[in-house]
Amino acid sequence: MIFFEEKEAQVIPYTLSRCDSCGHDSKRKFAPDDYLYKESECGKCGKAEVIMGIFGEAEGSASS
Amino acid sequence: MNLTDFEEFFGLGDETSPIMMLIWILPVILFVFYGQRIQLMVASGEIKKQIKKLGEYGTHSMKETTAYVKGLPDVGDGADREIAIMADYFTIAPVDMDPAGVVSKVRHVVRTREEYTRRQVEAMLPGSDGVVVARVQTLMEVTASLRMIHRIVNHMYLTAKRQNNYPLILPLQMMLPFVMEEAEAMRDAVDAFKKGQPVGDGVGPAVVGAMMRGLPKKTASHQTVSAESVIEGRRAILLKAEGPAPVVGRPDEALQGIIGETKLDAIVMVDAALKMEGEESGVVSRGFGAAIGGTGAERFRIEEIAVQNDTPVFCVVVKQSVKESITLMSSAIHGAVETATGHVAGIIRDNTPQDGTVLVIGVGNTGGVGQ
Repeated sequence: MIFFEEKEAQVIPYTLSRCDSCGHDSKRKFAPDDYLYKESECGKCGKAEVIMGIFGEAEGSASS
Repeated sequence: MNLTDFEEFFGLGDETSPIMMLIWILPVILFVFYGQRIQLMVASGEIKKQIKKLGEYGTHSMKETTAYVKGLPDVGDGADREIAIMADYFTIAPVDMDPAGVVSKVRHVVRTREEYTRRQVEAMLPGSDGVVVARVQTLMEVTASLRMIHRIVNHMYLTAKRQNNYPLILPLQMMLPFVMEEAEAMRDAVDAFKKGQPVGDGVGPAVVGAMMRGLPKKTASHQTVSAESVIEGRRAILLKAEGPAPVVGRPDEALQGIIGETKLDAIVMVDAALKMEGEESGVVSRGFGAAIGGTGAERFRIEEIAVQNDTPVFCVVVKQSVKESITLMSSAIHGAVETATGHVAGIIRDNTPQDGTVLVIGVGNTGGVGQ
């Protein structure tokens, strides 16, 4: 720390959704109205999917 | 080098050089009489840089909060003035010379500030919903804290500098890295609260929120909701702050109400806990006792109710750093939600009778965490 300050990697927020009906999981970048356990329409089967996770991942380490 | 040259060089030999003597003696005199001032100057340089950073954090937080408020559709006139007033709020801790009853005094002061600030934000944003009001209130708290930290550190520094008093600056020099860590965490927290993202401290509400999904909820106390479920065959009353607004609710008040109606066989509290150096983030541990931070007033009340009713209190904690607890939830902490849920079930299975009733409390800031 005396000599170098470690530069922190930028953290990207992601939203993880899961459809209880068809089991479809999706991971996308966080949108302003997202919150945990919010229900929306599943893009695959049209039934209700739920936001099961909102978390940050360091840029470059994200797995889709 | 032979020994004679060495002695001659340092003025130790018989033929002592007066110039070498001066080279020796001058720094000694300088350090004896001005050593502390030199140390003060060296320490001052580093502290001054940190104070500048603290000032910038406060200003940044203030700007972000003002921009957020002004971007809201319901903002009334005079928001700038209101924000400036709230950013300088402070709280006087109650007198503790006679400690009996100090907890209720602390609770009273904290609640007064909380309620007054909320009403002020509501007046500033007429028509806004509870989530937005709580968000602004949290942002104001962060801003006020950062400005207060800057003022205190600056005061200590300037006092030591004015008095030319090195020992006075020592405690500041020692504490500053910890203060900076907290301040940096608060600076980064602004972004998460502004965007309504869950923070690491929200892991407790996230665990209980998942258990509450799809169940009918009712208000248990101010900004606190409860639901009923079955875990491991036992009746489970689930309790958390009402999300996704960034609030912590009043679990102590809710517990008082619930225990008045139902005999509880156990209370399980799920919360975030500060990890120790060397520990990994997202590690889940089981323990005993009331896991709840804050001023201690709520913990006191929960412990008191538990003792009066002879109810065992268990806890499940998810380890994290100061920064992680108030910034966007990391993937490691998110990953711990499922593990913590398993621990809650395990505690219930191992410590309560088949026909028993348990209370599971998700403790922490529920910003960005629904139910």
